Amino acid sequence: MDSNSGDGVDDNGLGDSYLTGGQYMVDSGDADDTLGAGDNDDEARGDNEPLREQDRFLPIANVARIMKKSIPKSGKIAKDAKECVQECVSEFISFITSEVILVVFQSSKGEKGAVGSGGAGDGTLDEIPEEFSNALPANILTDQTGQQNVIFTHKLILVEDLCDIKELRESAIIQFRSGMFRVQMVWI
Amino acid sequence: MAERDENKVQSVLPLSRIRTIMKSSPDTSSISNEALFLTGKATELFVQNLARVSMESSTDKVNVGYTDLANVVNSDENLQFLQDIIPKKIKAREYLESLKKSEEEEELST
Repeated sequence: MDSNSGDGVDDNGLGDSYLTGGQYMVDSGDADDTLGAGDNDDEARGDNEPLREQDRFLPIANVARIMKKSIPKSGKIAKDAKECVQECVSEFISFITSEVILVVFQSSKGEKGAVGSGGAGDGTLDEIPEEFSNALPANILTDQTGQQNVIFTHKLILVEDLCDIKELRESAIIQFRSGMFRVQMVWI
Repeated sequence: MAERDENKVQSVLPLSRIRTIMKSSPDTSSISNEALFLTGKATELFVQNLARVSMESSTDKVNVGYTDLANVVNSDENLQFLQDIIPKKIKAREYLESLKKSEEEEELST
């Protein structure tokens, strides 16, 4: 399968195929916030202009909602804590974008497919075979052609808690490490 | 209807905004949709994790305040990249005292 790169605007073929694949749907929660739509805003703004306040951060309501999931129902979050986490989130995203270490491998017939049975957050991805645990040089994720983009064309299953994935065909596993937890995506 | 919902994975964060933030990093060329989605999901987990450990390190274990965040960020190695964003707050008086002290030390050494 060929690798395919590009932002949402150019990538409608890919977008359609995996959005309707039935495995998952992406809904950003905003009516006009489709995956491809964001690009138009960016182009209109121009790359060299500093981001406006509202563009630099994710909406505080969303952030607060996610935080609330982790604390007991009766818990409260201080306003300055919410604002602080909002800033941390943007820093985290920038951090990941520039510093992430990724492991990619492509298996030919699925024999090398790795199965992990740990969810993100508990670090129990023990079943990843040793030979795949070497990270590529930092910052760079390459596909076979060596392009420096994150590129996938296979159908996508986002699995937060991998259990018993027995057969992986044409699989590629991206192990995404932020240092605190791993989110593992499996392509089949 | 219920079955369809099970297969549906939703983002709780606006992806276009995440894309904007990612693009503000130097040398970012293009960002695939999967990378975007993955980043969004990872961010969600990051926030949950941060809130959880902050709560656990708080005294009442129920509420999360700025100090709890600052403590966590300063104690966990993995969160070092956040240290500049969440400095520990000190009172102005303490700062002025420590400033005075370092000035005095400088005078002594010259």
